[in-house]
Amino acid sequence: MAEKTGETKRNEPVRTPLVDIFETGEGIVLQFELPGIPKDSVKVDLDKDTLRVETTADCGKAAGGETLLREFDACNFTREFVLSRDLDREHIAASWSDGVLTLEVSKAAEAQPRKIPVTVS
Amino acid sequence: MSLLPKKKSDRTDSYPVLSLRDEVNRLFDDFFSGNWLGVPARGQWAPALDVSETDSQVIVKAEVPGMEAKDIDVSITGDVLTIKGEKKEETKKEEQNYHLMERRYGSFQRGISLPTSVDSSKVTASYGNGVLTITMEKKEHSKARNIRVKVE
Repeated sequence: MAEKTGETKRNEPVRTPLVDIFETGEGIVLQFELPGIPKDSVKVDLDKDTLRVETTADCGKAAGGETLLREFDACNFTREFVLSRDLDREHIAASWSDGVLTLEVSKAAEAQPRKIPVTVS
Repeated sequence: MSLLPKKKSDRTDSYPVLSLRDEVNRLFDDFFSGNWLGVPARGQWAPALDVSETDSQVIVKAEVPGMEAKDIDVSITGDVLTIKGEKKEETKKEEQNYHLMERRYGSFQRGISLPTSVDSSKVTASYGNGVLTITMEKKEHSKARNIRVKVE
């Protein structure tokens, strides 16, 4: 698992979401913080080894009025990771809750830890 | 008008040099705030805010993804709005093998002085998609009024 960086092709400002990545016995879990994005605007793509999370929310002025302080530099997010070879591309589960996208990528069968029982003869 | 920083200019990522500059700025910010090595110091974070104002309302938005509404506490004392809360880390993650840990957990508190007096009995707070939105009605005397200029 490695991060892929590079220029964005989008012509509007995008942000890099904060991510937690941790390994479990069965695979890798990625948690992306995507605050303010409706669920329907979250896109997850897998192109060969590149896992891409992108949001396409409509960022029009929500309430109008005058902005006094702005600390969110953009509304949409994008970030890419390259999956390592021992991850199973066919088994990726996604879930969404309170602005956090969770992706679970299983390890390929051959990369799963195997318990080898030792028998004393 | 209270002390609020000037709003950031709309910058665009179509200039790669600007996004590089942002990236470098972020590195410096992270370093000097103690968040270097990609590991944020525990219990040291404050959500990003957006504050906007209409003729009759002041709207504050805070980015607090992954929280539950019951863990957020909003209060107004005079002209100061305080947002407090605690973002709990799922305990099952503790023993896992981390590859990257950028999200911040723990308690936070952030106070902001409001640009005008608001009616503390007419405040609503809602939480959705990881964003806390607080809508406050301005007090009658601080609402914008149009004054007609008469020609004599």
